[in-house]
Amino acid sequence: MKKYIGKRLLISLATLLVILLVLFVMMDLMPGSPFNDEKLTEAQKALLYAKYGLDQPFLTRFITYLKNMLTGDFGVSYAINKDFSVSSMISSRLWISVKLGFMAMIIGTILGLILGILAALNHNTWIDTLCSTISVVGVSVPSYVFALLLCYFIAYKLGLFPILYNAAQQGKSLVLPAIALSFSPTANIARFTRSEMLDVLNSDYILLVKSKGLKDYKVILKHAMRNSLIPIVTIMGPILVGLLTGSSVVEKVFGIPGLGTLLITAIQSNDYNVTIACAFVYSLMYIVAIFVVDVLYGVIDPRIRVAKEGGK
Amino acid sequence: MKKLLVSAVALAMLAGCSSGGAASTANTSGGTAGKSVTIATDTDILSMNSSTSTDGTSFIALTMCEAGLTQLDEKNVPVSDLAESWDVSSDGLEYTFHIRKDAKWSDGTALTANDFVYAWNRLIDPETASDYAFLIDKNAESNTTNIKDWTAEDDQTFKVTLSKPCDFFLSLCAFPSLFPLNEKFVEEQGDQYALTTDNMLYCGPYTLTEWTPSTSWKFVKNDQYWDAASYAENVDEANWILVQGQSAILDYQAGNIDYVKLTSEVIDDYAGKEDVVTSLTGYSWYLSLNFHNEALANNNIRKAIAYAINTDELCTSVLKDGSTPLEGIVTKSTTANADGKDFRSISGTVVPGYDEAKAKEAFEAGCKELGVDSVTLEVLYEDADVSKNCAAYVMNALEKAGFTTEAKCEPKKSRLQDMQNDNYDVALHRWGPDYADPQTYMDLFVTGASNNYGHYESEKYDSLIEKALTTDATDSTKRWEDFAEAEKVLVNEDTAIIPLYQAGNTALQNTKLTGIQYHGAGVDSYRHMKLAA
Repeated sequence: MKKYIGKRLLISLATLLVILLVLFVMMDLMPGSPFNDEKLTEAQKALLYAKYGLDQPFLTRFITYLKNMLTGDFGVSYAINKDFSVSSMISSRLWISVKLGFMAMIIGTILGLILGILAALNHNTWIDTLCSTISVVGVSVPSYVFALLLCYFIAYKLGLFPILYNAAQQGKSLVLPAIALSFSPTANIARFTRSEMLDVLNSDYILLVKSKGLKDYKVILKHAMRNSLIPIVTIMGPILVGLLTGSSVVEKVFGIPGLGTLLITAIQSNDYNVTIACAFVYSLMYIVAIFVVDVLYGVIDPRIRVAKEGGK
Repeated sequence: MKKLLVSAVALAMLAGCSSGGAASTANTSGGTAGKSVTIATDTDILSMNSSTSTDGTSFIALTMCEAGLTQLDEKNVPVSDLAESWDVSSDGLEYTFHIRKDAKWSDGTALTANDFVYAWNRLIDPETASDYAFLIDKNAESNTTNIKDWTAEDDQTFKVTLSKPCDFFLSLCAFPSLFPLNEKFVEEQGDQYALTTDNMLYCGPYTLTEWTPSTSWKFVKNDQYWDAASYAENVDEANWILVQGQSAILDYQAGNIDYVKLTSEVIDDYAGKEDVVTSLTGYSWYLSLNFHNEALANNNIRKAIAYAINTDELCTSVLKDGSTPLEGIVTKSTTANADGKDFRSISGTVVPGYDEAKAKEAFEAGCKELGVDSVTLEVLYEDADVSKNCAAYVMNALEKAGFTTEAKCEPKKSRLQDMQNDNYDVALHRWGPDYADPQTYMDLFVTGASNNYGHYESEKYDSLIEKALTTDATDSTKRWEDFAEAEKVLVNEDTAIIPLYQAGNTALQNTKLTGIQYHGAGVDSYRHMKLAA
C-alpha cells in the first residue's frame, strides 16, 4: 500500500510540473501583454517588463517562477489589482469557492443518494419515474438557470436569503448558490446510485441474505448500500472538482468573489501570474482528487488493496 | 468507513450552520437605511496608488478619499479644493497656488506644497512608469500642459511655470494623477503603499475604511478634511459593491442598492420609470481605419463606410443605453472654454452623415478607382457585449453598401496589440478624454502619433494642430477654431476615421439620492452624495 501511494504521489508531482510548463508556454504564446496600454510609451513598457522580469529569456523566467512558487510566492498581479500578491488574491477567493463547492457537494450527495435509493427500491413505479425525471432535469438544465430562479423567487420574492453575496453574512449568502450548484451533482449521483443499487439488489448474495431471513432494512443498509457506494465514491472526486472549477457562472449571478471569476478576468487582462496561478490551483485540485479517489478505492474495497499488494 | 463519512458530513453541515448563525447577528441594516448608500459597479478598483492608477473606478475612489489643488463643480468649472486660491501671471505662464493652512492628512499631519512636489516628481519618474506621466513630464520633449517646472516656495505656496499657456491647466489639477502624496508616509510604505486601507493616507472628504479587492469597498467621512463642515449633510457612509447583471438589479429593487447600471438588454423594461437616470460619458467610439490597407487608403471607400452607417439607429435601437451619435470626434458636454461654451457648439456637425444612396455611389466609385469588384474588410472589435452589438450593426450596414465583411472579436488587450502591430483593417475603437479640451482627441491623429494606429497622414491636419499649439496657443478662440477646422479635415474631408457614438450611461438611481456629478472629461464625482430622509 505504501509503495502504491508513493508511486501515485510521484506521478502526481510530475504531472503538475508538466502542467506548469505547458501553462507557461501557453502564456508566452498568448497575444497581447499586460502592459498593452495606449498611454504608455515604449520606454515605459520596457521599464515595466524589466521591473517584473518579463524581459528575461523563457527558461530563466520559468525556473525563477518555480523557485518562488515552492516558497508560496506566486508573484504579483500586473493588471487586475496592480502589485497585489497573487497568493493572497487567490487564497481569499479559493476559500470561498471551496466552501461553496463543499456545500453544494454535501447537498448534492445527500439528495442524490436518497433519490437514487428510492428509485431503485421502487423500481418501475411512479416514484422511480419521478426520481428519474428530476435527475434528467438536473443534468440537462444549466446551473445558472436554477441560480436565477432561486434568486428571483426565494431571495427577491420571499426575501429568505440575500440576493447578492455579502461578506458579513457569508454562510447565509452561500446557501442559494450552493443549492443552485447542487442540482447537477444530485442528478448525477442519483442516476449512478439507482443503477448501482439495481445491480446489487439483483445479485446472488442479496438473494442469499434475503433467503437467510434478514430484515429488509438490514439488507439494504448493510449489504446493498455498502457495495453500491464503492463506484459512487469514485465519481464524487471528479464531481467535487467540477463544482470547484465550474462555478464561475453561478458566482457571477450571485456576485461571489470566487476563483472562477478571477481566472476569467485574469485571462482577459493578460495578467500572466494570476492566470497561471489560478490554472495551477485548478490542476492541483484535479490531481489531488484523482489521487484521493485512487487511495480511497483501496480503503473501501479490500479486494483492490489486496490485489494491488499481491501484485507487487 | 460509513461512520467516518457520516461524521464528516455532520461536521461540515455544522460548520455551515454556525457561520450562518454568526453572520445573521452581524447583519447590518439595508443599504438605504440611515445615511449610507450602496453603489453597484461592474469594474473593480485596479489601483489606489494615484501615481499609477489608470481606470475610471479607481479614479472615482481616489476622488472620494483624496483631493487635488482644484475640484470640478457640476458645470465642469475648476473651483478651490486644497488650494485656497491661485494667481495666474498675465501671460498665463505662471501659476502660484496658495495651499490651505488647514489642509491636513487623515493622520493629522499638515499637508504642504512639498506634498505636491513629491507627487508630481513621482508621477514623471521613469521608474514609476505611469500612464499619465505625459501630462506633466517636464523632462520629455514635450508634455500636454507645456509645463516647465514646479517648486514649493514655502509650505503654503506651490508655484508652477509653463513654457506656453495651457487653457485647461486648472481643471487638470483636479485629476487624480496630480493629487498630493505625503513623502514620509509613502516612502515608509515602499512597495506596499496603497495596497490596503492601512497603507494609505487620505486628504479628501472621505477615508477608505474597508476594501476587499474584487468584492466591495467602503468610505466614511474624514473629519480632518478642510471642508468637513460643509459635508455635514452628505452621506456618512458610501459603499461600493462589485456586481452586475440581473441579480444586481433585483437587489436594487429589494432596496439594498441605491445605484445600479442598466444594460442594453433590460433598458426597455424600465422605460419611463422615475428612477431611471441617463448621463453622457466623454467616451468617443469610432471606427479606426487602417490606411495601410489598399482599399481603405481610397477616400471614396472610406466615404462609403461613413455614409453607410446610421448612427441614429445604432444608438436608439441597438445600444439603447443613452448613447448619442457623434457629431465629430470630440464629444459634447465634455469641453468648455473660458466663456463656458462647449466645443461642439462652435464646431457644429462635421460627420458626413447617413445616406444609403451616397454610400453605394461612393463604394462603386471607389471600386472603379481601385480596379476591383469587391472589397473585403475585417472588422476588429473587443468581446464586450456593447462592442459585439455595435460591430454586428456596423458589419450589416457595410454589407448593405456593397462591402464584404469578416468579424474578428478579441479581448481588449489583444485588440490593442493587433492595432499597434498594424494587423487590422477596420477597428471599433474608443478614446476617453484626459482633460476638458479638444486637444485630448485631436492629438491622436497627428502624423506619427503613437495612438494614430491607422497611419493617417495629412499635412493640412498637422499644420492646423501645430498652429493651435504654437501661434494661436495664447488665443483661446483662435485655438479652438483651429481645432474645429482640423476636425472637419479629419472627419469630413479625409474621412480618416468614422465617429460613431458618444457612450451613454443608463442607471437606476434611488430617487432620494442626489449629488452624483458627471464630468465628461475628468472623473465623475460621488463625493457630494446626499440622501433625503
